[in-house]
Amino acid sequence: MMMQFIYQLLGQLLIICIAAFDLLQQLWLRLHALASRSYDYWQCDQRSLLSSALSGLEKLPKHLVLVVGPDDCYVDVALLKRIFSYAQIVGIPYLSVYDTRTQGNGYVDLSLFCQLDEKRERCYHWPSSSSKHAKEQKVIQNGHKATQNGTSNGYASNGTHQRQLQVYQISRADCHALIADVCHELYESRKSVQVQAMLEERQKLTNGISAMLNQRLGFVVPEPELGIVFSRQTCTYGLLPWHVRFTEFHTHRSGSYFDAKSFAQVLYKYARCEQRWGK
Amino acid sequence: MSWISDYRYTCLQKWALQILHSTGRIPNHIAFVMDGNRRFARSKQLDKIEGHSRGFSKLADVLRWCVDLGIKEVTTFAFSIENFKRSNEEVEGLFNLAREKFAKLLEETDRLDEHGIRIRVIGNILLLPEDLQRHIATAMLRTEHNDKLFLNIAFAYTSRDEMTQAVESILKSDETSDDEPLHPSDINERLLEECLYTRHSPPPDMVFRTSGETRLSDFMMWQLSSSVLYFTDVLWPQITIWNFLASIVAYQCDRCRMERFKSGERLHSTQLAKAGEFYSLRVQKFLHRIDANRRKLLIALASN
Repeated sequence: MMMQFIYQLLGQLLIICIAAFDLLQQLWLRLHALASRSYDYWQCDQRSLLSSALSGLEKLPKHLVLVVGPDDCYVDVALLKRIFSYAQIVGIPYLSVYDTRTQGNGYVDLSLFCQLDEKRERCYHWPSSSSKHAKEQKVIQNGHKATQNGTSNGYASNGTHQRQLQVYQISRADCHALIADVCHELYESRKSVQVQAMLEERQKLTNGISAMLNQRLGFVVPEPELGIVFSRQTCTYGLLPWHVRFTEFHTHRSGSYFDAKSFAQVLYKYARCEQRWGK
Repeated sequence: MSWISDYRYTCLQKWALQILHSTGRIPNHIAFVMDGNRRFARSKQLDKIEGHSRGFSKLADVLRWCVDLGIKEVTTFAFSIENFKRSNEEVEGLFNLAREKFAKLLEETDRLDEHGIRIRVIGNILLLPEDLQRHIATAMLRTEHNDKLFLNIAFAYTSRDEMTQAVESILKSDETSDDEPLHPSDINERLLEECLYTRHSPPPDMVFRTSGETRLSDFMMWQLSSSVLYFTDVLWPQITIWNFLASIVAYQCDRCRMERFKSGERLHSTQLAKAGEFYSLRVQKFLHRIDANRRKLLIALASN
């Protein structure tokens, strides 16, 4: 009985210590973020940092997904624009954003600063082709391309980094609910020749579901290969259960500063990992 | 090597276990991606199969720690459908190991009953060799009345296959029955979730993956939307009780912050159940048929 009491006391003490450590760590991260922001403002050339980082990478993701946790309060339009520009510099052509926050609670609507694709409903382009920023970007990037030396991998070497980014906004309705929606549609036409053909073999049904999901998502892009989770803990928050099965997740703790260096570090980690595809 | 090891704790380990247990914030369900067996074997210049065998021994230790910590459900990723791409020699070696372990399990069912352990194999077991199907079905049927610790073994499993199987069972729902067919409005996430292999399990509170990989490799993609993901660099055969306890502490830190999201998910699930007439006789009969068909299949496989 006495021992039980001591264990409980020590358990509570452990929880208090962890909470205190967590609080101090968060304060430290905010302080560090403030200092880093000032430093970046005055002198850091993020473009050259990224282009030098690029030369050491063996592979780049084609599709990057950003997951913003419901507890995050630091991801805003400015940060997203910054990340988009990093992705554009290194030559990642496709980017998706899954913001789990609600309107009025930090949720960022991409339509505020991205241009909607005229042909595809869910696809945006960044930067907007009409914006002054886009024109400036192009001029700078051309300059960047000229000075780039020895970059031989990914898209950075073939010049596609000058293109606009294709950006997709993922919502909760695109995740589990969309699979249910596809199932609903298949069920309604279950007597049709097409669905009966799918039911002959499970792989055919899998391919059919994939095609229907991609059509609904407006995805003509590869599945996300890299995910950055902005949250205090690593969690997918239900992100595209059909599509992110082989996505490499990296968590950027809420509150810490995200700059070109952080982005390069994530890319390094991604480049180092080996996908075995079951083999 | 038994399925539950006779792990001998040191005094310090016992205290740590007791202290964590006394906090009451223990996950109910942990899913393990046991990665790194082959890399471990390479680093020790062992045969690949020996690496997998050491991995199994570690699983027995981990199960012991889970039982002693009061964890109710453990899911492990043993063999992916993608693993059929490996060399025939390795796949056959893995099947032999599975045959040996399931045979051992059937010999020691009294010990499993003593701990109240129920074995459930999730995955497309029809892809496995017939004798292995028989072992698996017998083990599942033999332990089906135990309810203290649920051990789900994902074997010939991928999450995409599981989701496809769930859709398939809905599409074929009115083929074999004269009962009232499902209404299209019954079909939503809640119903699909109930058609997964894990239909009687709560979603994992934590996913623990070893060997430094930070992907999920098509494991429980549907179920882990509110799970804390814990990645560690240690190879599976090398994990120690301290690695395990560190993951529990990490979970305890994250648990409070996840609670709001989790309760939102639960509320959403309840609303879906209401909207889709989930509790109607029609839907419940359909789910009952799924259970009955799965059990029938197990009985047929066990008697092969």
